[in-house]
Amino acid sequence: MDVIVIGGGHNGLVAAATLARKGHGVTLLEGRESFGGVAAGLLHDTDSFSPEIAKALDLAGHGLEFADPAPVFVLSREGPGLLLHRDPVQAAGELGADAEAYISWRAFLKRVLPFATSQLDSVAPDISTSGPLLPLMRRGFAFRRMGKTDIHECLRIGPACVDDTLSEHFQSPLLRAALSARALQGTWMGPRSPSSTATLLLGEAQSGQEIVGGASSLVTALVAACESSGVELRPSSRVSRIQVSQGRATGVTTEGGESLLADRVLSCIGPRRTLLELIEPEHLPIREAGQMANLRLRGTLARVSLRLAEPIDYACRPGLRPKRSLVAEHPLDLERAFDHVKHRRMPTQLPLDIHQTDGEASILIRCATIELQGGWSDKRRQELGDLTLAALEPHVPNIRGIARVTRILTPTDIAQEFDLEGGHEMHGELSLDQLGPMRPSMTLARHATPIDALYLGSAGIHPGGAISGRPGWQAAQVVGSP
Amino acid sequence: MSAKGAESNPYDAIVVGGGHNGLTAAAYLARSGRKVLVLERRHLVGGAAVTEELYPGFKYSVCSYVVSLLRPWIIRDLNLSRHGLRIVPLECSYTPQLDSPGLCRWPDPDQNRQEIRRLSRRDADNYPEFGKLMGKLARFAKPFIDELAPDPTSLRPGDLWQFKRAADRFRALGDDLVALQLKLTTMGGVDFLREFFESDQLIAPMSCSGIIGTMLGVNSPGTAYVLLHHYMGEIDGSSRAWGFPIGGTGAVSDAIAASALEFGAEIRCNAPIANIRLKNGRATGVILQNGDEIAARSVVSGCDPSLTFLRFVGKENLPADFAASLENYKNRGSSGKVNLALDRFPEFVQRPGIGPHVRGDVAIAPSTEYLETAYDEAKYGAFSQRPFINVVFPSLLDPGMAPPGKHVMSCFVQYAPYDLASGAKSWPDHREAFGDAVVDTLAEYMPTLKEDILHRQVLSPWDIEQEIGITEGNIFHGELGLEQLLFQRPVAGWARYRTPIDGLWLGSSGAHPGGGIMASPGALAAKEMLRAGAV
Amino acid sequence: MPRKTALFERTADLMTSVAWKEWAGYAAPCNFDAYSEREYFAIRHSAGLLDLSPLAKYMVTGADAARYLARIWTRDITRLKPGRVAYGCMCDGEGKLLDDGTVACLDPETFRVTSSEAWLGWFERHSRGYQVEIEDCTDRLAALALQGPLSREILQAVTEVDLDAMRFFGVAAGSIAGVNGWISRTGYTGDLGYEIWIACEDALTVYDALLVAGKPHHLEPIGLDALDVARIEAGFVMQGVDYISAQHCLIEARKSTPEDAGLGWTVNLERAGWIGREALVQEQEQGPKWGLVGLELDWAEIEALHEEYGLPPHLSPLACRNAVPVYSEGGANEKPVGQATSSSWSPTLKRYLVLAQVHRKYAALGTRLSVEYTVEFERRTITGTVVERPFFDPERKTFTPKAAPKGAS
Repeated sequence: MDVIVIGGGHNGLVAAATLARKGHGVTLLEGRESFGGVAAGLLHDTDSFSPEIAKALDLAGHGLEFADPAPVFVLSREGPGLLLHRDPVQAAGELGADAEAYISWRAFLKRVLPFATSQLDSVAPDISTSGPLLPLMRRGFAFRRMGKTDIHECLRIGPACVDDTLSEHFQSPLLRAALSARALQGTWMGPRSPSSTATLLLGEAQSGQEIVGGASSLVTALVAACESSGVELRPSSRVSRIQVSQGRATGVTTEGGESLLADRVLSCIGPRRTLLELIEPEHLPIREAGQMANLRLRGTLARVSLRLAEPIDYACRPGLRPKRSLVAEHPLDLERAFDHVKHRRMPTQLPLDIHQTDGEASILIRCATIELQGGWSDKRRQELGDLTLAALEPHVPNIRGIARVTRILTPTDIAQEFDLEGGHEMHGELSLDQLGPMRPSMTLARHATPIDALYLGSAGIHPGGAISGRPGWQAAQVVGSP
Repeated sequence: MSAKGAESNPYDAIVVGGGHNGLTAAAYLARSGRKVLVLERRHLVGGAAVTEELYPGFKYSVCSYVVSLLRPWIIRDLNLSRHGLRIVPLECSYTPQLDSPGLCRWPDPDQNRQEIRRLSRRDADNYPEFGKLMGKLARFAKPFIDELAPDPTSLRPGDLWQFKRAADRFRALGDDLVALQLKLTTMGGVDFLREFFESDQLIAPMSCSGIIGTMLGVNSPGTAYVLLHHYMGEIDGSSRAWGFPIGGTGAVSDAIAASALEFGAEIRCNAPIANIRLKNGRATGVILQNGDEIAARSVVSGCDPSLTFLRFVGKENLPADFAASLENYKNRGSSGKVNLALDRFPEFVQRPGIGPHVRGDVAIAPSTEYLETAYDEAKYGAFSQRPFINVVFPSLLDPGMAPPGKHVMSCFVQYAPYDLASGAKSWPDHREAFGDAVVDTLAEYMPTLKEDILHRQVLSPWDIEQEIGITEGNIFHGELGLEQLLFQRPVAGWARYRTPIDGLWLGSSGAHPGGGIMASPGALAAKEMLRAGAV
Repeated sequence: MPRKTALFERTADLMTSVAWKEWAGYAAPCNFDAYSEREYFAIRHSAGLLDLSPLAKYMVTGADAARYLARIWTRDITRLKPGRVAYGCMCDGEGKLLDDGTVACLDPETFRVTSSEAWLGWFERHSRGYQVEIEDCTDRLAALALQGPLSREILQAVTEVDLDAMRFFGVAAGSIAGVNGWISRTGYTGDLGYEIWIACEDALTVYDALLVAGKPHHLEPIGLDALDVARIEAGFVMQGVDYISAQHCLIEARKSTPEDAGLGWTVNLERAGWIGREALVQEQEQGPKWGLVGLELDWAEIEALHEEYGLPPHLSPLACRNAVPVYSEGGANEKPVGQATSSSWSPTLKRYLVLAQVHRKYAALGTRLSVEYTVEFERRTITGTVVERPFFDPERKTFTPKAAPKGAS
């Protein structure tokens, strides 16, 4: 069987390699000059990449190595900051009064997350009214095995806001800010938004070991895996149309005018762009067209890159020089930042997610809205760089002396450069109505589409996530099945 | 069916708190021949549903001011019409703007269409379709407010059966409505409405229903589902979603009290209780603040869960996990009330006159941005300088509320957070400034307002707590968030009006199905007590 | 609270009755006198002039206009030529009828769509991906219906458009009483007739000019009551009466497919890409359930039934829109097989006509059914026979004096 995979981001690469290893003839079309998408130079965190997929694709054989995640250093202007390890025992020393609560929180997560992880590792359940009941009941029973107390707790905190949930457990605002920041990735929420605890749990369910060398090592390994399994990799081949004939996808046309035929087409770019832009509207049922029109993907991500003359040394803990650090001293700092997103304003105080490597720092800002009133201009872009340095200055007084801003990517730049609709790194906001069997919609969450032989496999599909590889992997299982 | 030893245990049940739910519970119990005593702290019954003449000739519905989902079966069961209950529909919903005539939503679909067309033709076309979809979902949701809430972890046949029925009805909705229902329960009001409408001037007033009484903004996830309430009223046999009781909301309480009295219940005002009396972990009556003890087989509380359990029972007498859950229970009063006595009617500058547009409710909700900003201020511990205000002119609907030619104006105001940055107790220092913010906001739309004010009553959530007794002044006895609804109201496993204290029942808005003048919690609690043979 | 059309001041003036009804949010005359017979006979023997302005009207323009309309309409609009009008309907995603109306091709990228009610929300929702502009022109465009055997002569007196050459379902631009507008040879009466489309501000000019030109021909302003009788004679279904738009149905059972409502002929299941097709293809495989039929009630039975009560048959001049049950032959004890949705005495045919939706197996010509009929508060039945629709179909409806030879467009 010949398969065309559209989009060479990490999910596209995973899907292509998986299908090729099953013996299918796979052509992977990527619009940009290089592969990897957001994994190649935008996002930092690699701890959600599934180790099972790495194993199945023998990525270790292509040089991929996992390691325990580096701790995150949360900066403070008033104290020594917080070096937060995920492992509760390692973390305990830093946490003081919260140590015990952190241990019991981790223990709670350890009890309840396996169910969530198992859901992330399988195709979304069919919750349509014509779907079979038995699999749903089976999942229900699996959920029940968590026990009454934990179920009640999950159902209580899930819809609640992450700030409330964490405040019930922890005193340290630094700890709460660090955990909240994680929960808000890919969302259009602040820590006071109800249901942000659900996305916290979702994030925790995906996280594990991280990749040595970061996301770019992952991309290198995935490209190598594709090559070795015989995938035809075609960069600079942006697809302009998916050809559909009598309700069946038959191939694609590229922007260069080339027409490629295939038995099946798997789109690992955003579901909305796939269905609303790459297909003639006549071929898409109005239900799915409506669902996609309503899909919310308001990007809030921006990035500032710095060249460093010397490593950043934080005033609150000189000499630490952490790989990853976070500027957010209180959950309400994150809430205030989200207020700017909500009101489509330029943020003032920036929470920062800093990733420092030799001589460079990549700083992610998650409160820059693509919907900015008046739009993003060159002036606004510069302003974002200044705000970033201003946010660092209290912690690194000499920052303007040692750092030079080399690149600023506004949400609009990200949308353009990474070919992301809405500038959204997950092709769809994480929110309860766009998760699980509703991601991206009730009838599209299981990879198949109303168009025969056309499948979806990006982060916009269940189980979503940042650099996890799961949507591509699961889509490949569905595409590869007869 | 009085208990043995009538001497020492003369009452079958004592109802703590004579709010509308407490009175309803009492009426149902008395109707079944039980000997019931209602104890009310204040000098009048009604709790937050009271009418008081605080300025000669002018009657205020002090707190609660409109009725929406008062269950028709309760009106029938308790003969409330015979006891004087008369509810007239609010005719429309007017949202003024500073620089345009604003939007008035009318009961007549065509008139409505004409109004909305001025904002967006597309929205005018979509509005009836939206209403139809909401009507269908309301039909699905309605049984939940008239039944006990099933617990998803329970294996009791009754719960499983309820779940199966709910699941069957859910699937019968069809895919599109199932998806819509899931969105409705999880999404923010504004996001949800944007799937149907483009005009912010339409979305803003519609999204307000989702924030009333909560400490959430119109963009907060989980605020969309309250939109259903509007459509539930319509399938409930009342012609509109909202109604005004002739005589003010106190008249609702008075009618229920009259019904309870006729069924033989006893009501005692000025009788604040100190504690619920416990014996061997069982509620055996109450101890009044004056030291009197009154015995009863059962006690049912019409007060909010925090007050009931943490004050009247005491944390030390509760199972630890239950007490812990209650401490995490979110009360968070977020709204205040400003009642005005007016020398003449304050006309809206953009729609002058005392026309039909002011015979409904008036929402100061010019844009979603405005509403969200109001919320932001409250989030950080300040009352909104430009708040969301829901205005009703009771004197236009019931001339008895004010002297001829004069008017009363009831302003429900949000946000007024209980927890001010300077502490809840500092409310007395901020109360009048809060009142001024409300009047200043309104005066932008009604320029003559200020000169016509004869009397002003300002109630902050702290005042509501002090006066009415509701913890943190939350008008619904606890946030109506998904995590505090259905089987989780007030605490998972204890949503069926029973409590961990034997003989103590909860029949207030803090129990399923929650707040608003529905009277369901009181009625369902009483029915459950009777069914369980507890009285 | 119905609004006034551009012609309100004139129609209100001409009316001796005060018989208004609400039509799509506008006030529309039921009849101009205490009764509507004169107006009805004008339609059939001279001409009647009706204010059609409440009709929902849209201009659809753009490079993809035809392709877009072919998507939302059951007819293949890409094949509609300039100067032609197509009657058709619109379905939801489940193939259930939303509305019916006409699409006029004014030029290859400009179309005028009419429907019984407003659909801008629906139109815009499905326009994504098409280069198309949709304008709701209901409020700015007035419409007049001039219907009846003498309508051509009357209209020709005020326009230079060559009406003798205009074919049935043709449309042309031109000057009418000195103002620019469009004339289409369409209507809702099943007779020779025209519809005139002009800007609201010109409506009075045209209306008055037509009244003057029509005076010698006994032209009458007509209202909706007379129109209703005429449209039943013509066998036309009406949205909201003979079928209910799926948009308004609370339950599935009330929805109709085009086939159910007698509009199956507007549907081409072979053609792909239009909304509702997939569902209708499936339905086709299972066989449609309902069909719309024309019934003629047995007049002798009606007379005999009234005779039982000592009454003469009562012939209302109005059409009846109250749906009543239809049973298989033999009366109310037999199986219910459908419902009669519109009925009327036909003053021209001297027959009692009924439009009914019945189970497909009872839809064959000649089938005898029992239709509920109430006399003196007692429910009885009258035998009705399935007959050809239209009930009334004069040659003049389609005859074109200067018809171009067949095949020339």
